[in-house]
Amino acid sequence: MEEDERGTVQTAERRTTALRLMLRHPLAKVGFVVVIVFTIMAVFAPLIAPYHPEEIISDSSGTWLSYQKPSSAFWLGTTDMGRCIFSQIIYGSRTAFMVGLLAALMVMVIGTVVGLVSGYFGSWIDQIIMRFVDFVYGIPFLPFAMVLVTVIGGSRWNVIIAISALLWRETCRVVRSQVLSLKERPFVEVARSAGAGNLRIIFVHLAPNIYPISLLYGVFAVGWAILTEAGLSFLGFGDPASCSWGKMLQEAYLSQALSVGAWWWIFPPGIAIVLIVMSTYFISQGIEEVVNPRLRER
Amino acid sequence: MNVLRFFARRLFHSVFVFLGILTLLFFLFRLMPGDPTQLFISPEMAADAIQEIREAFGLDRPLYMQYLLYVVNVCRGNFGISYYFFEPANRVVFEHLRNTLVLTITAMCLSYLIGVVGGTVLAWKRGTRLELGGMVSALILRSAPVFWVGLIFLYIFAFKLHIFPGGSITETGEFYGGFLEMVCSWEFLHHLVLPVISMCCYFMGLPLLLTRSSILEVIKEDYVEMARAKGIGARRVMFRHVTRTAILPVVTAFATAIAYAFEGSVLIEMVFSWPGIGRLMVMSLLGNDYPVAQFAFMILAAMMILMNLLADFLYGYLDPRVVVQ
Repeated sequence: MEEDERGTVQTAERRTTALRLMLRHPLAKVGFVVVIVFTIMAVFAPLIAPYHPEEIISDSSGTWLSYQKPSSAFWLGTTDMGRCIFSQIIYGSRTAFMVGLLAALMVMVIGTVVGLVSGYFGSWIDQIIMRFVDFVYGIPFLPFAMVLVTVIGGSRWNVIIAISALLWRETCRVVRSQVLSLKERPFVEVARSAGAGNLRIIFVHLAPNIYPISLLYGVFAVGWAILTEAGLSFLGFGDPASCSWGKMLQEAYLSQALSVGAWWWIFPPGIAIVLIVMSTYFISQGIEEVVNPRLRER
Repeated sequence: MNVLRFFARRLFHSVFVFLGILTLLFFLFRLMPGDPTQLFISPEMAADAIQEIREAFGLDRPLYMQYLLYVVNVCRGNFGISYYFFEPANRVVFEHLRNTLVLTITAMCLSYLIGVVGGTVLAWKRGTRLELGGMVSALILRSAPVFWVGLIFLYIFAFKLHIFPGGSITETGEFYGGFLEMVCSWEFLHHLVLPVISMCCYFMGLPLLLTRSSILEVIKEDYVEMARAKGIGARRVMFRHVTRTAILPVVTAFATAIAYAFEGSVLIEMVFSWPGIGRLMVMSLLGNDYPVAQFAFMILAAMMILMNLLADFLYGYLDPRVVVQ
């Protein structure tokens, strides 16, 4: 019992040092700030947004306020249908967060478990799993997501499934190669001679050593998932019911916002995507610093 | 001998991966909403044409027979008739394929040229403001959705400044004797500029970061010190001695990057109305032209597998340690 308590204290300490190390990286600091701002936006969207994203705003005589330039009334202007772009950006952060986090979580769990099993057991199990991963690597990512969404329908959940169905392949390969070297270490031998079963060795002894690297690839997956969701929505395969930055760009493109010169409709959604994806890259740089201590000396 | 066996094994695996993807496609497209016969037959077809397709694809027979016939038809290159173009699906796809090839290969060559030179400069200027700026801008460019960058370029250069055309591959009404003649025309190159630059913005990030980190590894080697000690100029050492070794991982990344560019060109093709295979696939999926969508997907998958195989070969050739494992 005593030992157990000491163990948890130590891991907690280690975690705070890891976080401090990560935050020492200037880019990671910027990344965290951006993520926190977007989190607040997503959580309190109904309180921050002045209008509902689908609301058609008209003046006192009933004519739509379409293509309004950015002003004090509409911070980012309005669309062709007289919808408030600022509110759409705010609500769009919810889709980005949901897709990014859930897809990344699925990628991390699938990739880590499959990689652990494949690397630990080796022999024919590894062979079969790795051939399957080869197969998944042969599938073109975006076209597959397009076809899958056409088959199962374009809801937000299905978009998440379509993205994570292929994205785990990279995490899996990286985790496996880590496990291959880890399982030769003495502590695995010690655990086995102490009577630990395969499952216990995999999930209690090996997995904690894998978490940092799978977290790193999970953070990459957040960015990838957000970019892919935006792409799918832009192409018309997104969730028609939800408000997303990709869908905003699709609407702008289809309604000739470019030739009208409505720059305020084109720039904000893209800038929002750039900011959130960029901050995931910045955070991943911070994590790399923790995972790979050699980087610190340079 | 070892090398040959390694290559043969990879080739063997690739054939199986492709068969797996054929199977996946068969079942995915059978699950499409609507009647499965719709996959190959459009209501506008003549009765005898419908009968012919029914027999060729075995649409009245059990599923496993349909699957076997499907594999036979794939081997024969028979994918049915496009509903939209009223032409064999494979002819439609190959016509669009060459447009995509011209676009992606041009974009990738330019990206890697800029990336390798830029990465060398960044590694050389390690620790300076220039390095930080270069790294940050590479990360920002990699975070920008490629279709959005395309939209911005389109807005600025086509709609505001009127320097470049607003999309498509040539002016409407222009006719060319052949594909090569078209590609070599000024008109075509004029249309190529914006999509290529938009793709470059995204794809040059990877070679830039890869070259930089690879050079930082090589630069510590003894022979670089030696070259410097012999009194060879810094620029010459950098480009002749360091970059040549450091470029190996970048070369293998190039093969896989082409495959990703190929499928990723879907978005750029949509923005610039480029009549390539990606746009064809989107249009045919949204318009229920399943024979074309299916074949386009297959070609994209074949390109992925081929490029992964090429990357493996390059890797095995350049770094013999891989083969031994």
